[in-house]
Amino acid sequence: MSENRFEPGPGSDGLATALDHARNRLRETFRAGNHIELTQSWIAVFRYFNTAVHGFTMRERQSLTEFLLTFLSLLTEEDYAIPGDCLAGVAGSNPILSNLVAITPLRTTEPYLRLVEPQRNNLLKVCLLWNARVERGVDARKLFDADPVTASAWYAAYCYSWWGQATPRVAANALASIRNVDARLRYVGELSIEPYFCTSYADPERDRYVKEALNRSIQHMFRSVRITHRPKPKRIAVLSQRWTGTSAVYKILRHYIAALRPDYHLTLVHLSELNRELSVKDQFDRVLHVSMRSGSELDLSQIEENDFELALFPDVGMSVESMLLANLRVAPIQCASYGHSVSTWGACIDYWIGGRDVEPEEHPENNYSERLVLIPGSGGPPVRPNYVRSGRTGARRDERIVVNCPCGAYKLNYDLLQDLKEIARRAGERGRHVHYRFFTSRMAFYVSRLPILIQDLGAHFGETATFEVFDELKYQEYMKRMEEGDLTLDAYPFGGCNSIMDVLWIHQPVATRYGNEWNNRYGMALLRRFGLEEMAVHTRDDYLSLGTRLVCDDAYRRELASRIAAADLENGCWDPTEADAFKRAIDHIIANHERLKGSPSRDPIHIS
Amino acid sequence: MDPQTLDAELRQRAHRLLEHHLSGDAAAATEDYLVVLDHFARVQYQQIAPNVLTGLALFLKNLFAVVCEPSYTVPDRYIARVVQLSPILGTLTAMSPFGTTDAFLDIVREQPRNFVKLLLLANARCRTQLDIQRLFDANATVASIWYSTYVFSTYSRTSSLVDANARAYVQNVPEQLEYIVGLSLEPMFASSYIDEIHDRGLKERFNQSIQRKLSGVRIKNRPDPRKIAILSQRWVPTSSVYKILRHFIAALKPSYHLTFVQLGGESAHQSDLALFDEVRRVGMTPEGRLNIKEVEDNDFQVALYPDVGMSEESLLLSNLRLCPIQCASYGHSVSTWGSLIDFWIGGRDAEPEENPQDNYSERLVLIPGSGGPPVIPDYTPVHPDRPADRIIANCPWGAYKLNASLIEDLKVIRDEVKSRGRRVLFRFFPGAGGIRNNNFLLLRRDLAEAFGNVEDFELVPDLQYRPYMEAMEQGHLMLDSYPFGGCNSVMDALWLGQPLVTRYGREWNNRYGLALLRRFGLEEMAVSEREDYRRLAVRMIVDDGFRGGLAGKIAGQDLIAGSWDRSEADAFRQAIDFLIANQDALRADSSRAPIRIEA
Repeated sequence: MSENRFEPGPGSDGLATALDHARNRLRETFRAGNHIELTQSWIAVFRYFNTAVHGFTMRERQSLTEFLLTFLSLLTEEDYAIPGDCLAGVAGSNPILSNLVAITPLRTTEPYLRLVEPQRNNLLKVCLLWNARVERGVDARKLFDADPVTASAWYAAYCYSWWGQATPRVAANALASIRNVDARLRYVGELSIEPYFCTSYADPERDRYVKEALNRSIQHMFRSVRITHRPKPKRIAVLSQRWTGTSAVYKILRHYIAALRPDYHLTLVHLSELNRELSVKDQFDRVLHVSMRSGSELDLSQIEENDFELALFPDVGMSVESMLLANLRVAPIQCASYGHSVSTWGACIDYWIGGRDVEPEEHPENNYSERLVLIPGSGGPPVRPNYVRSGRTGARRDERIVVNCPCGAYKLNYDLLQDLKEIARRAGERGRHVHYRFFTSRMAFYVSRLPILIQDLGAHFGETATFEVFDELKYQEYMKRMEEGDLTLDAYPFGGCNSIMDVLWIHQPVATRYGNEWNNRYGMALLRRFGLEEMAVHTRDDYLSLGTRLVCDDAYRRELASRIAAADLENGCWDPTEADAFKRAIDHIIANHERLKGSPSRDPIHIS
Repeated sequence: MDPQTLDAELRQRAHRLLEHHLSGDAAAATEDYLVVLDHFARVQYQQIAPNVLTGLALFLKNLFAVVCEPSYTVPDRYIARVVQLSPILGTLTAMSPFGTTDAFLDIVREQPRNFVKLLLLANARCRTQLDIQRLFDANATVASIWYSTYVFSTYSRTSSLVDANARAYVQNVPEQLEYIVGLSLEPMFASSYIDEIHDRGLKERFNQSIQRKLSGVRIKNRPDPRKIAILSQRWVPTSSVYKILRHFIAALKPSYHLTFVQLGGESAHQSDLALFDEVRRVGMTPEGRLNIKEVEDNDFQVALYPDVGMSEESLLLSNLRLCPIQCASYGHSVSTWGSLIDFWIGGRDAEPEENPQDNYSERLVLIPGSGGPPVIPDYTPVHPDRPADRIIANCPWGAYKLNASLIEDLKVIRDEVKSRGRRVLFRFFPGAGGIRNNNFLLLRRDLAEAFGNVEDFELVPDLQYRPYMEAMEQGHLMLDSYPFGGCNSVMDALWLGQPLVTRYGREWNNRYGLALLRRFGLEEMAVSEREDYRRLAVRMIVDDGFRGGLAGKIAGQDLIAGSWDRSEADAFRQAIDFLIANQDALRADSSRAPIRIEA
């Protein structure tokens, strides 16, 4: 292992040996009083675990435990100070430390947080040790009083630590952190995308507090940035990180963009280096590029002088570039839509183009800080699955009922898990054993999340249900696994979109619970199109009842499956005229923007 | 370590401990942590400043780093000390942010050569359960040291976890358990408070071990039918053993030659020797052996142990055959379960009517009365003003008697009282037992956790009798403990004119209150069911008229004259006469039925 790098060698003992070496290195550098090297050493270890997923062997777990114990013992020594320029490393290590500690007997960093609390110069130590698994944190206001930048980095790191929310403590901490967010929260570079993105999944009603604070901070940061507009009519920029053939953003919105094509000059502004080569460019007259220059600075050179009349953000909030650009005035008119289906809450986006069939009938505008423009349909047609249904005869070898939960780790939450447990309990009373399959996607991959998620789920379900977690499957494999299931339970409060179509495609019954937001009404709207709305319920009790019935009543499940099979999914899931409505919405916005922006009205603009 | 500079010293020790650890000096590191643990095992604090707690936490953090280091093993010469200090480590950890040693116990469990480290880390506050049998299989003597000291970690049984662990500890006694001089008296004594049903298994095992250890000891006895030995550590006028039994011993005086065998040396000079014709001494040598020189050649017909099990000497001697007839009585009111005591002289009025013999391994001899007259308090009530905004409920329960069920009762009572618009303050008197092993601090913390606040209770430090009674008198009523109830404390309450609630069961120690109340026609204050206990307590707290009425009834009693009948002392003498006269027949009799002596 070279200095300040952590590179486990190959072989079954590679990781354990590397951890043992790393532990010795901590001890040596501490004894030598070399705090800089000591700090770099542990940051290197945690950085490794950011993307390394491990089902740990006994030996590895033991070495990990010993490493962590040594690390925490030395970290909390009063005369050890983390060098001030290590903020990024500290913040990056926070959720990883939290998750790693949680899978060891130490369980939580809380005792060590208590130890550093009375120490002097403890800010970075507190920021490292305070995560969502800590029952009693410190006064966050004091962190912000001490240094808003450091505190903001901590806040972002803290948000990473509550993914999954599979324990009541973590869930409560997640909600509290959103509810009590400090107004001084700042944008601190790429880390800040996490609170901007994930708070909408944890608390759809209060995410706005976090986003508003971040938007203010970004706008303040950009107060001297000037974009020169020389808008030419009919020039539209589509700013996206995910305009690739496999992306749901593309699949949902491509027909809408295509509908603009005959009348407008379209520029794709590809955001970030990610997916740059994969982006689908054939709908566009021009392709530009914006990405981060050095971690926190945006390279605007390709758009700082532009001729866009309108900027459309299909997936605002899913990349740091989109989050930043949404707080600049890239074009005189700025719109967003459902690629990421939540309002920016306070960015410089003027309009949200939404779907009338999905948004709630009463006051849908309350879901957006942008002026809502409602077009017929769902606001984004479902993606037709690129999968050939195989039928799943003989796929299962036992009498368990396999229940799919295709919800990314962000969507998992304690209330939902309680519901799943209750359904399994009720089913158990009727002699049915439930086996859950969680499809958590890549989101479980980072910050060593997967092992602790599995541990938490095991503790949660106990004997009530068995489960599997599939952390990252290619689409075909994912659908094959899904098809092996008997039914699907949708997530709440952030429900499924494409996953509902996936489920129907394999003729599988689903229970979805609808609320008041597009992202928890999309399933209901889709089911309604096919006369299958009995699978959409509004209350928790109904969700539990329907879920239990789907598990226990084979005939009912079969009947629903045959009704799904009879539906014309390809042709019935959307009406191509919706794309024309999208275009008319854009036309309307451009034509009336001057008037609209002067209007105090928040009423939705209806495009028929 | 100096209590005045504890904060700085703890930090220094913590620092030195880490240095020694990082340099791989296991012996020095062990010395470092033993010094601190020793200090807190010896010096009892009633409060600790926050900065000291911080220093302590830093020290513990490094201690755990040392102990969990896979290459660290406790050097042989320290093993016994390290294991003995396990409870104080549990106590200190409970006062630190770590809460319990569970995490570290789990870490060490996976390591090789972990035996001593496991014993250091395992205490009654842990959720982690060890396989105790495996510990004894590894080294029964060292495991017995741990087992004997483990009980110290159970003294704040306010949480259901500690309570359950304490019960499991009493119920699962390994066969290889050895009696360890200087250590094992405590679990023998405390087990009766922890689990009044299963304490016998633990005691039997220890008694067997003592009998094996003493199997080479030879006693020469040429019994003189008129000679009785009274073997006690507490025959001093301030002791309740003395107060309860002195009338009984006095009744023997005209007919018998009485030898007082002073056990231990601590209070020898205070002993009241007026009743005795002769005095001998038995004590422990500095090497931990029983020095029986003065009794190994004796002419006693009867050996009477008024307080067997309250001193190491009484425990060891009771496992020897000093003379043909060996008896015990209620100075410590529980059976020895398996020693060489032949008879238990008990009180008919306080033992249960059905099968009272089930409470004793000794043959029960029942005399009229309670088996020991209550101590008349040496206190004159001063009738202080009591607070009007809340009711003070005295809980004069030694720390041994506190348990999670009682705390549950108090919480239910508190909540019910609160729902009726009143407020109750529970005033605890944990006594000397409560301040061992720094348990006073722990008890305060645990009670605060149990009640969810510090306003619902007061914890009174160990007091001399007069200030204790003054503090009691400030209360409005007394709640008795269960399953090990009060004896003198019931009389104390009555003496103060204070209503009380006592719950009776099937043992003398939880029926004495009932028997005493019945003497005065006050048995409405004694209940047998838990629900009734709670209900009566609530009524007594919220219903001023009811409480006042009971106080009036108590005030109308002649407590001195009515608390016992002098003929009971004669019955005691008759019981001794009977045992001597019928000793051969009784020895041949396999019956367990109580022998009833009528006045």
